[in-house]
Parts: sequence; structure tokens; C-alpha cells
Amino acid sequence: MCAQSSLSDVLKPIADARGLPNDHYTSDALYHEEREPLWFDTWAGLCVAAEIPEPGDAKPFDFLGVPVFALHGRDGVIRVFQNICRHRGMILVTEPRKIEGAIRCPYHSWCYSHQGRLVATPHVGGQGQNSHPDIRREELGLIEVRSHVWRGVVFINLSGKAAEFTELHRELIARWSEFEVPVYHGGADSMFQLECRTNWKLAVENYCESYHLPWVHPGLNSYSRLEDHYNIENPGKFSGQGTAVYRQIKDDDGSVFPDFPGLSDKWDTAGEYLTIMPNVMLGVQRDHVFAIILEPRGPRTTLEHIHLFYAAPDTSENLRRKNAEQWRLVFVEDIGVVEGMQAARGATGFDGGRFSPVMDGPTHLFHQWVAQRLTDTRQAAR
Amino acid sequence: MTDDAAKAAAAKARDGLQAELLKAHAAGDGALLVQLYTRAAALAVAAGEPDRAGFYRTHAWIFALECGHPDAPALRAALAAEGRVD
Ligand code: FES
Ligand SMILES: [Fe+2]
Repeated sequence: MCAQSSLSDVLKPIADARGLPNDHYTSDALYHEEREPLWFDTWAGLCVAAEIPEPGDAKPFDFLGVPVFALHGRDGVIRVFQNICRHRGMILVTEPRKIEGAIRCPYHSWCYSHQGRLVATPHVGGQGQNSHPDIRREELGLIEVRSHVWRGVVFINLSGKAAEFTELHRELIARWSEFEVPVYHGGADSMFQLECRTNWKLAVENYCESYHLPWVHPGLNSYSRLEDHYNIENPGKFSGQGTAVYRQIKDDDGSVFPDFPGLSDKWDTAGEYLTIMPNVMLGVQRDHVFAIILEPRGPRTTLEHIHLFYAAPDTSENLRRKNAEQWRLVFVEDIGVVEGMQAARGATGFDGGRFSPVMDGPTHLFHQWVAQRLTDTRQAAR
Repeated sequence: MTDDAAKAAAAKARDGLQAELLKAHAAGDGALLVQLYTRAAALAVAAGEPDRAGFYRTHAWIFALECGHPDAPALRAALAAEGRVD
């Protein structure tokens, strides 16, 4: 199926390693093969809680071809369900909407509670007969997807096989324990999308490293120099970069966003930018944090959903807009390179490329994570 | 009223209700659907048609469930009392 795949080269130490072969960025078969090991068996980002802010808010998503919807229940709990009726398999939620009471299937009106329980099966035993001994409602609830909300991001583990989120990401949670305080999504002016003609992995790879900063983001790097950055590497879980020279954005009158409470001095000028594998790219700084959720749309297209969060619910709108625009410009600068790398993946002579042993550690770590999980799955299948 | 006159009046009420139901469906007005199907059930009961009544009451219940209407538990209880749900 994938003759040019040589994952063993990716798994070598960085000095000798090559990157993932071209077809991992272009092939439909490999895109499909990635679904289980890279997405379904781990915790992936689906959306942010702010997309369903009120009880009753529901929103559908296409998760790598699996239709799901997130629901903010009347009990205040956010749940994710597979978006399918247990009767004849009709889709239940087709657009973001308010569900005041039961989730009623549009086909034959079977109804589900906000907890996913099947509560009504009208006419199932004939006209006006709403029960039938063979249709046991207690066995036919919605298929709930394991979910966990962290830092405003809704993560899901579709297969149910991953360790607890808080266990899997214990080190990351500890690393950023100072940021375990309420974060407030900035609202409509603090979320935007960018569509990139690239494989999702190239967006991760680019985000992980600081090597490109002075070349791709000369504006950013006029104050953030290469030597002010450090790599963050945690094999199999997260990788990225940190900066020692974060500077706060200022409004026209010189005012700044409020800081998160209780941060240590390190964070006066520090910022850290990590990818939680596979698809959530997070940034933390003293006065705001952001999350980018990657939504693959096939092997060659990725939608980036960007969300900005603050330390208080009532920050200056003007400053929020300014901040969103500043980040948008930075992320747009990255689109050029991720689309350029994608376009070049048609080059037959390319061997996966090399990694700078000094600069590309986090990127290589991500490649290894991909290669290892694919390798394990292939071996298990034999 | 003669028998024929009573029948004619009932048919007229039913036609009027039918038109209102179609409008409520088109508008997706859940609370109104609950009200109209409840009325349809009552008319059917009065006309001595318990199965039609069960059909309409089922619809009232389902739309009450969907919109979180306060009548939902009572409608379910009524259906349960008639052996139409367990
Ligand atoms: S498919 Fe949902 S009720 Fe029939
Ligand atoms: Fe960048």
C-alpha cells in the first residue's frame, strides 16, 4: 500500500533521522490509516467550550469523517456524542442550535435526553403505542464519546482506549500549573479560522520549532531573537518552544491586559508554545493564552481554529481586537510555508529531509510520535 | 343539535385545527404544537375515537419533550395510564 514508507528512518536518533515520506502528506490511504492510532486512540481537540457557552447549546463536528456533536447539557455538563440516531442511523444535529429539551431525531422522532438516554420511541409498537418489548430503551442511548475539558478546550478520545487525560498529560499540567486558573474566552472577536492547503502535520511541525522565526516572522523577531528561544520536548506527548522575551501588547493609551493571578517572575517575560499531539497547539503568556485546534479536511487541507483567552471576563474590546489581529498576521505568515512544504511533497526525489540536531528537536519528536504509533499499529495488525 | 349538525361542527373544528397544525409545523413552534395536538386529542376523545386520541397525545408528548415544555410529564402519565408507553 505504501511502498515508499520508511518509518524506521524516522525513528532513528535525530542526527541520522529522516522525516516522514511524502505520501504521509498526500495519500488518502495513509490519511485514513492515521485515524485510529493518531486521532481516535488518543485525546484530540474537538472545539472550545466557548462554542457552546449556554446550557442547551449544541454544535456538530466532522471528526476525521466521524460525525459527532458537542452538547452543553441543562445540567451544566459538556458531553460529546456520536451524531447518529440508534434507530435507523439518521444524523441528529446538522447545524449549531439550541436544544431546549430532548434531542428529537428528525426522522421518526425518537427522543434522547441531554445525558444521551433514549426517552421516547413514538409509535414504535404501532400508532399511538410508544413502547415495544423488543426495543429496550435502556440499551439504546446515544453513543457518548469520552471527553475532557482542559483550559477551555474540549478534548475527545473516540476509542475510549487512552489513559485518563489528566494522567496522560500529567507532566504538561504540572509544567503549566501556574496557569490552572479560570481562563475567559474573548468571545466573537477572539476566534478566527484560517484555511490552509496543507496536511495537518505540516502545521504542527511548523508550530513546534523556533528555527523559522527570524526568516518567516521578521516583525516578531525584531524583538524576539533566536537565542531567546528554547526547545520543549516530551516524547510521545507534547513538544514545542519557549521564549524568554515575551512582551505584552499595549493599547493606544498604554494599557495592557490584566495578568493571570499568582504567576511567578519567570512569566514576566516568558511565553511557551506547545503542541499537544495530535492537533492542539497552545500558547501561554502572562496576560493571555491561545489555542489552535487543527481540523483536517483530507490529506491536503487543514482548517485552523484559533481562540484567544484572557485572565478576566471583561477585557478591553479594542485591545482584544488588536491582539487577535497581531496573532492573525503571525499565523498567516506561517501559511506560506506550510502550503509551500505541502506543494513540494510531490517531488519524487525527496527522502523525507533532515533535521537540525540543534534546532529541530521538537519537530523530530512529533515525527517520531507519528511513526511510532503507525508502526505499532501495523505490527499489531500482523 | 341534530346528529348531522354535530358531525358537521366536529369536521369543521378538525379542519381548522389541521390548518393551524400545518402552520405550527412550518414555524417549528414547539409550544404551539403541544397545545394543538393536545386539543386534537381532546376532540378525538369527545368523538369516541381513543386510538386517534392516543396518536395525537403521543405527538403532543414528543413536542413537549423536545421544547422542554412543562406538560411533558403529565402527557407521558396520560399515555402510560392508557398503556401507550411503559
Ligand atoms: S432514524 Fe431516528 S427515529 Fe428513526
Ligand atoms: Fe511561525
